[in-house]
Amino acid sequence: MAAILEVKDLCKTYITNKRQNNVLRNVSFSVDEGEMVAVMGPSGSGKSTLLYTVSGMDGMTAGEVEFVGRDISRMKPRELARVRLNEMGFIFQQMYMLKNLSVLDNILLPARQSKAGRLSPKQKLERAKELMRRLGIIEIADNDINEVSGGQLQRACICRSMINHPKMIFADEPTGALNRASSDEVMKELCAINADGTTVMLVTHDAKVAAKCSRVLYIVDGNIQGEFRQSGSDDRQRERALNNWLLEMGF
Amino acid sequence: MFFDILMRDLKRKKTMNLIILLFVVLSVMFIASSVNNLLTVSGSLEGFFDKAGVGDYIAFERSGGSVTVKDAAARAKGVQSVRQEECIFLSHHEFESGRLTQETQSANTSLVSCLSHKIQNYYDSRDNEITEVADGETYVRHSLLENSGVRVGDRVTLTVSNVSRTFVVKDSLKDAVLGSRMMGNARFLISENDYKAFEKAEPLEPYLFYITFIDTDDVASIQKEIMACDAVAFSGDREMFRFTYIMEMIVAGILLIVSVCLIIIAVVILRFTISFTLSEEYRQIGIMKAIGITNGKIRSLYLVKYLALALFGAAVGLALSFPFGGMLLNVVSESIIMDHASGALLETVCSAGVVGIILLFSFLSTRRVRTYTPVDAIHSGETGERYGKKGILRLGQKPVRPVLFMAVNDILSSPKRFLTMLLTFFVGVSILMILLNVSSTLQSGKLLAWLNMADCHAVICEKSAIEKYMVEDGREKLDRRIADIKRALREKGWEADCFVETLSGVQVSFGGNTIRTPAVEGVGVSPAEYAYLEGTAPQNKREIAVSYIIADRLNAGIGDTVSVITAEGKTDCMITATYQSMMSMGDSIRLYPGQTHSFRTLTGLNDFQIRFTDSPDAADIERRIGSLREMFPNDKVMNADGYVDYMIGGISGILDGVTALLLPVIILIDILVAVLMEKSFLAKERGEIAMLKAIGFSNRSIIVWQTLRIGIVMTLAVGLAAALADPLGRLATGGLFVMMGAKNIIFDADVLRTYVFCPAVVLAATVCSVFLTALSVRKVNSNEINSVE
Repeated sequence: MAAILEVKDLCKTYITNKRQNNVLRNVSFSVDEGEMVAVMGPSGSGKSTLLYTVSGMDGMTAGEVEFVGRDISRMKPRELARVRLNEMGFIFQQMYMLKNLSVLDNILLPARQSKAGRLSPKQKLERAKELMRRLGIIEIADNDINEVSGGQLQRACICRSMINHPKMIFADEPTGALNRASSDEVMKELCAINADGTTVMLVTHDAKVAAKCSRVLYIVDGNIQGEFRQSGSDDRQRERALNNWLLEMGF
Repeated sequence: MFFDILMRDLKRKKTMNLIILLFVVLSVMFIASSVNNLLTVSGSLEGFFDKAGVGDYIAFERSGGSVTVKDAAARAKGVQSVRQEECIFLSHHEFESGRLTQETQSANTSLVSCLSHKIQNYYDSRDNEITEVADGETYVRHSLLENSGVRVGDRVTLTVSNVSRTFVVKDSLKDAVLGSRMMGNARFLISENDYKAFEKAEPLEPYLFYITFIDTDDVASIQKEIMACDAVAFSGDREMFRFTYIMEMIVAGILLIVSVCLIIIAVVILRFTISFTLSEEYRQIGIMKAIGITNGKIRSLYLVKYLALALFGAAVGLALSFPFGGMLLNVVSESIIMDHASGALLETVCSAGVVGIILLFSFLSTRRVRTYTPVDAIHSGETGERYGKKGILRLGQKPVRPVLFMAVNDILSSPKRFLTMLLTFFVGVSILMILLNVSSTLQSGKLLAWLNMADCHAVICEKSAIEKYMVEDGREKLDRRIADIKRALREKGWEADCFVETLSGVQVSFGGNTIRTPAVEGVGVSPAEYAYLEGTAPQNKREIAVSYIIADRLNAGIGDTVSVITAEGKTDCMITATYQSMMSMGDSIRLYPGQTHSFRTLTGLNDFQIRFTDSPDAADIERRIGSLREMFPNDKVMNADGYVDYMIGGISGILDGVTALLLPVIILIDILVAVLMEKSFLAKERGEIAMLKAIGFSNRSIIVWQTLRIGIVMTLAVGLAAALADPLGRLATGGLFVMMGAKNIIFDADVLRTYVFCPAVVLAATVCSVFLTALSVRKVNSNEINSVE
């Protein structure tokens, strides 16, 4: 499989109160098309910063990030916005949505903003409804976002991330604010999306979530300390193997 | 602790605090200076009239009346003394100077007075009493110099009939009776020798004029007796003459209205800011409550801040109000002697009032503190309230750009949030539109109807003495002149009517009420050509129309028969119509033409009006007026608009000046409000902006969304202001027009200036400021999404 994301010597440094804080130090890795990669690590290790930097949401101090063969570190903000809109999807821990819009309109919004695909407004609406049906939340389409549960809202966020047929989905603690049942449902959907061919990279501290991924990157103090590739199809075995590896890594 | 919290808050919300501070400063500055101006001017007027020695009752009289003012005073009860001075009217428009142009020429005839005949004291620009006027020198009121462009030291030539003399303007004159802008006739104060030279003019009698001061305990009695005086052009008590200074106070009056609006805006913004601050600091409030701090104590934390802001703003505003108020008073002090005693105290009281209002509103707005609980702090405010808003519109498959949809949906979903802005913009734009409407109306030819004149296309003001018609055989002379003008127009191939109005003093009685009023009679024009409020035009000599003010004073109405005593005798006439007129403060009646045979007793004549009857278009009319100027090179020829401006010269100029002052103030206010609101929106929507950026919205789209919202609100405010400009204008200025004699106001708007240019400037400035403020969304990083509360 060809690499969809290639990261070379990525460094990210924050300067606060004249003190230099190296959050990412020469990080290099790649993600192949169709892969589902989890990033794990202790709090403050730089997991979320890594996700935001490689997805172009945050700038980098040094290094190269190639997304579908294009160096996003050289892109202008407008170009980056276009790439994020048309080729990437995002899911966050907080189910952020515009509070003045219905659930359906929130999902539809990126599609309407996108000029790629040349779909009519009607076709875009149909696509949003189809995604909602697929994720089992069509009944809340016209609801306001304060009228639905956290699990439903996170599935709506998944629909929003999928609306423009992204090449890759970035998820930052997608189950962090959910109970176990909702968390399982969300991961089931993400796995299904990945099974359909969409690459997924997610940050989590939950081994049960990471166990669903084909590969796990372990990051400590801004460095990738190890990589764990999953084998086998039994969820319990995968989780156990991952837990053992994490234990070895000191997690 | 209070000080720490205050300092931290002042630092954190610099822009918001600065904007509130600016509003306090502007409100205090405007209200303190305008209230001081109004009270000082009205208070000073009484002192000025006393100092000048103005009588209790004042009458202006032409020579040759069968019953004189002195006769009337002798018959009246309670009269203590009668003082009379003789003046001489200049020949119509014969006041010339190198600086005077056709545009700056006054419509009203000035008069010359001599110091040795004086019955009142006169003062120069430094408030020194004028005790001597050298030969060849003259003093004249400041407003005449200002309007005509003549300066102190310039030479002016005054002409009475066949005598002309040139004078150097020594200084401006403070003249209690004839010094206000509203008084049409200005006085040139000259030496006795120069006055004697004018007394040799031939003929002299039509130019003689008498001003009489009557000191009395019984004004009603002298008023009653003076009705029999057929040569009295105008008379009234001191109160009425003080009222003529209203135009000197109009700027202060408008500023007072603006300052009230500013205070309203300031408290509305304060309320918004306090609500915003409290909703932002729910956690801090919850924690304070959790550790046992009472509601009152927490509220006092915020009140201390607003007290500090209000006190500081009031101190700065008060300090600025002294030079600003001084500037306003300077304009008036050119005409009257000012009493500055109460200024500082009054301005301090106004400032304290503004501080009190702000504190009261701060106190009321901080009531919300009571609704926050420690649980809010523990749950980080996530009690469902965060998502409490409901969307109104649905995007669905509507063919609309998402940013436009988001902007409209935000406004409709959170109307309260945008209402403050809408109100502020609406108030500002409305003030501008009302002022512009009044100003353009006062310069419009349509105002002829308000002056109770017939509609016309052009007016010829004879530069040679119009008083030549005010003689026994004046009617024949006037008819000949009208015939000459009509012939000249016909020779040009133009069909036109030419007409003039005569003015005389008449006595009207009905049901025990008797009043003296000017009577207007057209020469060469039918009464049907005039505008009436009710009824139909007089059809014969037994019918008259009366102004609604006269009808009220007589307690008479259409269909009533009143007695009219003219110089020609007594006639019983039926009132067939009422009308409005801003001439003589609304006092007049309209006689059917042809009733005055001897023009000797006329009190005045209006100018020659020309109405083309062969339907020329606007361009053709202007061309013809150009030709008329060539045909009558010695006279002033104007179109109807120019004539109205000429008749009420100065007032529209003052309003234009006020508008020019207010336009930047209103733009500044709108910008401040828009920036404050946008800043608070940006702070509140930081999470949403980060999310939009994360999902691929460009900075540009987000900036457009932010700007569009306020742009739409501003456009709505402009639309609303435009729709309501007419009724609001009537409401705001109706009282002033009613005092001047017009109750049925129809504004003649300069559509381009009022409804396009000015709102466009305000809109553009406001939207630009919002756009520049919204540029800060570029600093919001999409990765802030998880760190935003």
